[in-house]
Amino acid sequence: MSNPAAADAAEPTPDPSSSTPSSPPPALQPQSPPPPADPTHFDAIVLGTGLTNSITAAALVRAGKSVLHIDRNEFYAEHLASFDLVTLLRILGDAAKDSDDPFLGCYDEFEVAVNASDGSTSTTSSEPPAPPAPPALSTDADNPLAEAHAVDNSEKSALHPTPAPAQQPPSTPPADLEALITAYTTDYPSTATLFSHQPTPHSRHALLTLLRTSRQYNLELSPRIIYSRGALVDLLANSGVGRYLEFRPLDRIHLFWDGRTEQVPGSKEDVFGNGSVSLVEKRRLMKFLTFAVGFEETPEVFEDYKGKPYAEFLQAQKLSPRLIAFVLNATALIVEQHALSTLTTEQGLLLTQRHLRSLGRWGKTAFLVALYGAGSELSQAFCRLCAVYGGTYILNFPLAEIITTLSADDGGDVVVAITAKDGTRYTADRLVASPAYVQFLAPELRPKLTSKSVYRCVAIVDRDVHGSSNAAAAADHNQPALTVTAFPPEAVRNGQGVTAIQQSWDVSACPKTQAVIHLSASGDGSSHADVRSALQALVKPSGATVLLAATYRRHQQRVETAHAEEDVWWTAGDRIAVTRDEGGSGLDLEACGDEARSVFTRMMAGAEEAEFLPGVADPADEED
Amino acid sequence: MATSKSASYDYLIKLLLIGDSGVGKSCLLLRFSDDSFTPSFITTIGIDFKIRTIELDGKRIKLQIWDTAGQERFRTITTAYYRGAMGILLTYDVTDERSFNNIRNWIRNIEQHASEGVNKILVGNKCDMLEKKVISKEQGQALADEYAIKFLETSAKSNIGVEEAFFTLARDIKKRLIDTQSEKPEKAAGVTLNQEPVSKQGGCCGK
Repeated sequence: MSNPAAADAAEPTPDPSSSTPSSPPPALQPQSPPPPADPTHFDAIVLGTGLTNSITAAALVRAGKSVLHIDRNEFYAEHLASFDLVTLLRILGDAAKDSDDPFLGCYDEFEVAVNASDGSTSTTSSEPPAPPAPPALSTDADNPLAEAHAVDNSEKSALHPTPAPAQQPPSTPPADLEALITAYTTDYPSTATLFSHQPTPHSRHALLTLLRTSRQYNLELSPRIIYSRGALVDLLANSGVGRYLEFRPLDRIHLFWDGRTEQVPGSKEDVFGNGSVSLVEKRRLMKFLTFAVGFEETPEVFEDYKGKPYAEFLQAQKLSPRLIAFVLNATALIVEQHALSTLTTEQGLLLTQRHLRSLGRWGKTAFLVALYGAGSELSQAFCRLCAVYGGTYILNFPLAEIITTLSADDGGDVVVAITAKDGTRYTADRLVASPAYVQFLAPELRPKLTSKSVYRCVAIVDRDVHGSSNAAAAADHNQPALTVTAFPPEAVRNGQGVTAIQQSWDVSACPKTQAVIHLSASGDGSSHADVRSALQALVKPSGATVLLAATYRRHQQRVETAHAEEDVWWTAGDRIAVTRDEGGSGLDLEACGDEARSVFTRMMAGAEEAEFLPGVADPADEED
Repeated sequence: MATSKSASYDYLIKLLLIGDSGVGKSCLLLRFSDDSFTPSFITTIGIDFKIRTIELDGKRIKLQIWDTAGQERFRTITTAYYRGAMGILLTYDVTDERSFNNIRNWIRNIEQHASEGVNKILVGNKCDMLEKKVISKEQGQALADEYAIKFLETSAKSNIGVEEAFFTLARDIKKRLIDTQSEKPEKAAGVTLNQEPVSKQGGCCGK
């Protein structure tokens, strides 16, 4: 099964005006790739369909500009994309082979481990596998799947694995899956490994079982949650884009402390109902939170700590180390040591305040989880808005070169031309590009890129990893809960901290009863072992089985801008903007909206009061 | 899904139009929703979706019909477009063989991105253009039979078969999702963000 998006993108689509067979095809019209869009000059070309660029493209179109929005990838949303299981493995596998590609080159050290301990798996393809009996988990903190492999090895003498079920979904022919498995086990020996050990019939079968239900998974490259109250939610509601999207409240936030996960109080009732915090601590925490929600009104409280680390200020409030971890790691959701040590008191208070203000709007936490994947869905929703208002979209664009013509006289006109490998050429007055397009710019226009590592793991588990520890919550919610777990730096060996997000069928991440765990550890000191040990710590109490774990390293590209606070690189007299790599270790998407607004404002400078994404009429109100 | 209640309708059904550029998807939509027709070729700008409430067997069914926003032209339809769709009008132009042949590609696309079991109907539009017609009714029917879906020829311009196409699809969906009380429990409605000021408790999935 080839990727359908790729296959379709390669299909020539006839130009509508010349599609009748009675008229001869225009001599110059290429059969593949698609014919040039008409016209070929635009007010702006936007390269890369990540969220910042997608919001920017929609805003420009809404302000009356003509926009051509292009992606070299065959999918939307760049590093925020969401994939079914087969496509995710394929793309990470391709990344292992093609390190020169500016997008794929950001991913390496890809490894997949498959649990094959349940040799009796005999589910049909249309049903999620029945939860197997919980195996005794290995205590090997480095490899939560070690037990699986041990069992696997012991079962090598079994005559045959359970035969593959006869019934297949028509869209996923078994032959292709077999081919895919074979490809993984033979094609990527150097940079990626499918199995930590030699594949066995059982492990092959376990993978096959998962791949058969591939379409039921929506796995994000960079999982994100959304503040319930904030600029981004307001933008979604006011721009009309919100009607393309659906969300669920995040159920709980956990802090990993003293070797176990505990729920972070999300309300006053939670704080006082919490049995593990002393009354004195509760009062101090409440006092601090009450101050933080309107901290600007009492500047004298934090005046002495301006510019100093937030952690110092929190200590001065006599908060215990555990409560400080609540505030820093599980409320501000910062776990990276460097970020923690450079977080100033003012910045930290803003994060705490943002969190507190988002509480109580929906559900019990400050966050929403988007169905099918936040970054992917939000980007596509803004792209649709852009298209509805006339924006032109081309994916899978074989970009060859970006040529910039500057005429110094005449006020410095700049024309940007992009050419494809087949010679297709489009021009524009302005260009917005993500870091993946920087290498196509002329050397003198390129910003300096640096790279930062983020280690990620996406794991498919057979049940709620918080299941056994919180029976009450499980009872009123028959699906695995949607949770975030923060591991402070001290909790993990690498000293960098790890965040984990659990998603479920409720947000279409996976089949019913299963859960998907996304783990992320940032910083140079971390490694696969750190995310794996965090995964192990998460699954152990519930006895959940890790069915598949894919780990990889992500190189987040950083654009060196003129000012440290600025995320966008501007050049060619503000005609070209390079936006930020969105696939970092952070968990929210607020920066994308802010950045799009700033790009839009600067590009529209001089134009009379262009509104940033004004509201649109709701078609639902137009009924006769 | 399909069970939203309000004073004005009993059920909400989401439909999609799919097919090559220029086959008349927007014209079919405008004919059905507004009973209007614009003869000149215009690329789809500004049509997001249209609403029409119909009555079937005494039930008021609100049809929410989504257009492609022109994103079919370079095969850049968002995967998000397919989310929650219950029925799809697969449209080709009877005067354009290529658009007919591309139906197979669109079906592959649907199989990948739409939910399993989504209802489909094959529609051959522009059937009023007899002189330019290159795809016969029999060819259309044969293709539809191959995929076991229903088939109709339509003309948005002459208002032939348009009502029937939408009603046929809506009736099939009603039969599948409403009359037979879908055996799998659907997800509770999630949070949606719209332009109305959101009340403190509004939209929460837990009611």
